[in-house]
Amino acid sequence: MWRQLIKHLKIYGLLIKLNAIRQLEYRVNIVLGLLVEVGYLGIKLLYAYIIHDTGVHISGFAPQSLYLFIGTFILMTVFFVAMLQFNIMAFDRQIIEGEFDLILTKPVSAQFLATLKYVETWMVIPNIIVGVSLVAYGWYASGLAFDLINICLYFLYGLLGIVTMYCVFTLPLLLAFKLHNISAFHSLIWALWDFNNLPHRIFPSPIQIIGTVFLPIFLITNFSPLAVMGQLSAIEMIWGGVAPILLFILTCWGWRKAIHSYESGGG
Amino acid sequence: MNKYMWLLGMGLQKALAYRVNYAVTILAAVFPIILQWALWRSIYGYTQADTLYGMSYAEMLSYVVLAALMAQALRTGFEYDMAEDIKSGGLNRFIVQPLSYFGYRLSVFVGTNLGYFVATLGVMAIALWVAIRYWSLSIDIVDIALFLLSAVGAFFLQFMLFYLLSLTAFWLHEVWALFESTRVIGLVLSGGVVPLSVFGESLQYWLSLLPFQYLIYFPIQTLTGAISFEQVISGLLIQLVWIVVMMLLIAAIWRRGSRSYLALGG
Repeated sequence: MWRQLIKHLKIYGLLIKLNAIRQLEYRVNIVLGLLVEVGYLGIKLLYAYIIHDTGVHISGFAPQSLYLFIGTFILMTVFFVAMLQFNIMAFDRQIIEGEFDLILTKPVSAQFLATLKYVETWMVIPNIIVGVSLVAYGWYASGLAFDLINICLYFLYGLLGIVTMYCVFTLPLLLAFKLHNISAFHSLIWALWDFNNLPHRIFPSPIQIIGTVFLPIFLITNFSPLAVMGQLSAIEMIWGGVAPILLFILTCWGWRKAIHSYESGGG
Repeated sequence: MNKYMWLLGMGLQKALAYRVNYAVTILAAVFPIILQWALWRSIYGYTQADTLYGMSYAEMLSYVVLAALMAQALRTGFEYDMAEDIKSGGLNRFIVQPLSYFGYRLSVFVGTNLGYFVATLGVMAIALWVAIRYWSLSIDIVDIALFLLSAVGAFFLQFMLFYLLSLTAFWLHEVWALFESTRVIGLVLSGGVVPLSVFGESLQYWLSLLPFQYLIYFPIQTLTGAISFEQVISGLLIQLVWIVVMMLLIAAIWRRGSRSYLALGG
């Protein structure tokens, strides 16, 4: 298992490198892509501006702490855009047009290749800069200790958040094996992602429970800042560790089931 | 005229074939509304303010819901087809056929989007009923009539804006980022995310010089009765002026672009 994991990590490293080189060929596209990301970033920062302007405390969190949440959301957007966005957009096409045949012949996991082969590299730079700055400011202004335990907690729940993100947004893609065209679901996926723009405790309890237990999108960006602030209960800490693993198992199982419905559609 | 009506009918049929697509799009609009509702509920609850950015809680809530729906009503998509037509020689057939390309695109746009537009206005009517019934928002029937006028104006202004942008394909190889960045920035500047009063008076003044606010902010302000009758009439006139200005710009740029057009493709 570990050997497989290391093998796929190495391949993913190569994919990042190859995509970065390929994208450098079209530099104007990089500049224009950056423009789009800056636009989306502007919307995310608009919420930060309103929180700053009104000085609102959400569920006891001061605006400084809220910057930590918004910064984490922006940093997670880096992974969402880099790892998933373009793969989600291209997923149903490769099934409709039969490109998936080629993926099945490769000596690596078809799930890995079909869901992670496109990596967006340069476009995410503004998100990295702004995300790191907001997290650093929120961390410092909230008076949180910058020690090894907190850093490890932040990265651990961040990593688990990335696994959750992969599973939550890959599972609906499996419908493409049955329905073929799932383009309508894209807008739903983007809207669900933006749900993480603010701490989940801003929502009424039923939404918090749904988003934490049944469709755990709140685990993606909320648990790492909450863990650092010492605001996670023991049950939440355990769930934050268990849920991503369960989801990953479910995604792999779902993939194996869904792939049986695949019919080569290409010419 | 008949040929354009036929195109309009075809567009409408095409749109009706994707009803589930529309339902999912509207469902997707619910999530940002929930996010905004939670945010403003917290802000008004914490500050205990009667009004923020010139709006009461009920007005703010009504605004963000209606604005999110209005943004859905003004969806486009034809710009990608236009860019493709320009780049890959799709305009060739319009050179030899007795059909204006502008008329063709306008008819297809109206046909494809009319169903969405009217259906979204229907959803807005439900939201408005909720606002009146539960958030104590008072709406005048005249405001609704004026809103419908401004909404139709916004519909055509949006078309002109994206038609104008699509013409850049005569000179630019890649235009998707231009479309997407304009869409995102336009959404903010038109008041599709938060009311423009959030940006403060001076910035709001500069924004009033741009056409974007006549897409969402102005129609919603008209509907909620936040602006006087005189302001509505002058706003409608400015909206009309923007449409005419854009049409003139389109005609001028089309002439220049046509000179650099290469009739590629078979």
